[in-house]
Amino acid sequence: MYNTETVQANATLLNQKFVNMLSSGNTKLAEEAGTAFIRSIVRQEAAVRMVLPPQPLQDDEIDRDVDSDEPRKIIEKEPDSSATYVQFDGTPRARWFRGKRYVVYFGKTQSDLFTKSKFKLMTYQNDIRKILADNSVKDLADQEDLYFRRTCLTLINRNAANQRTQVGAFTNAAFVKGFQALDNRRRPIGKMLMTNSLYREAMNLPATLVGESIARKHYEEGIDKEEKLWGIPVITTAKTDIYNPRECFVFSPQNFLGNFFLLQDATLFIEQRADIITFFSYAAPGIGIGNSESMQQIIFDQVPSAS
Amino acid sequence: MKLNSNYDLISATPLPGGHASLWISDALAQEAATAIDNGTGVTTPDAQGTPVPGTIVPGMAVTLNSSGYWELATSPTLGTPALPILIGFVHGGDDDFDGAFTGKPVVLCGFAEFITDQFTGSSFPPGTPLTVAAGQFVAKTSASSTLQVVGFVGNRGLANGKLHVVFVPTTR
Repeated sequence: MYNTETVQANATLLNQKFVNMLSSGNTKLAEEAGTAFIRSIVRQEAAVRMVLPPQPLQDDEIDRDVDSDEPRKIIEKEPDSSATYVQFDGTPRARWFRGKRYVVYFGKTQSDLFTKSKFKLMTYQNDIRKILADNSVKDLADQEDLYFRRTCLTLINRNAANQRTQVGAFTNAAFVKGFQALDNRRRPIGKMLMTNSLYREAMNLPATLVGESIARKHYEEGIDKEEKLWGIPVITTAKTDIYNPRECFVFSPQNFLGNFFLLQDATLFIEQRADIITFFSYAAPGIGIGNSESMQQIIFDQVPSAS
Repeated sequence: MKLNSNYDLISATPLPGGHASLWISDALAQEAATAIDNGTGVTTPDAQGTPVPGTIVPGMAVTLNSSGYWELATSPTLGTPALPILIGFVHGGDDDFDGAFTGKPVVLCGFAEFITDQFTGSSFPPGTPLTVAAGQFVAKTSASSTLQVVGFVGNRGLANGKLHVVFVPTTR
């Protein structure tokens, strides 16, 4: 879903299929028009939004700076504290407390600026603009995932000995090892993120490991309806060009991890000047990881054999 | 247009003040690319989680290196074997908040006028050709020099520590 901004000189000049979709909300017709296209790849919403639910910010929630007019959001972190066990005449040490903070900065994701003469549009039987508009919003989502994964890897690489778990095959034991790494750092386990391709290997889990009923269910229904593994919610993504198909991220819940703010969610801007129609999509997200040890990467070295 | 054509017009739409320039905004700064590879430095989170700002500031001259990243520009001495290079000026650096977050400066390549404090030297009469060295604008005073020129000093010259640049990309 996305918002729409329109600078419309004369709606009657626009392609009727597109106008119907944008102006009268007749999405059914537009969808029918769109489905006649041969699709090239599976496009998806951003997986990061399932890990860190985006939170829209209003003007008065943005933090200002005396030297810049760029928006930012300052987040306070939980202060350290401690206790001790003493005899009855013992007294506590004074503690002038302070809490740490980190800053979330923002950027803009944007699609290409799609431009076309309305006369050339007449040669398209399907609403090519609807497809481009829908896909461009998903392309923005790809950028969110790209930056999110890059940031995760940067943080994990700094502490790889603890935050990267190298295992062989997709087995219970492999995941246990990854989960225990988070447990040992006193971080809770919230969600897992992996590609559909890797998740599919759950179908290989034998009855001797997961029980006869689950193995039978996987055999009969596949795993597309499964939303959890070992009780932990799994976010799956088709984006094998962004996420390594041999990796699984385990994240703590959002309040242990970081923030995803939106100055503006994905918006489709459309403009017509004379016979030239232009449109593009943009959004203004900001993602920050305040607790870098609240994530674990599990890498599966053993690629399943074709047999 | 033939649907199987490999031609595409892809220049970014200019904004006011830079209508004669290409607004290139999707290339990383070299210092950010290096930091991303190393896992620490510009655009990566610091110990608290705040993205580290870079050193490329507005008004500097930059060039695309062979990896496709922006780095500070130095005018080459043209002629065998040095070739001209693509030089632009920074509109949005990687020093500010959004630049630190994305690691991608906004660089304008093309005709434009601007004021900058990124220069080396003290004499900049209006009309003087300008070259660049390590991102700083430098007056070109030697007629025999074949350093690549990037523009000229504008009518305001140098005043109050700020240089008026008329950016005119050339290959000579």
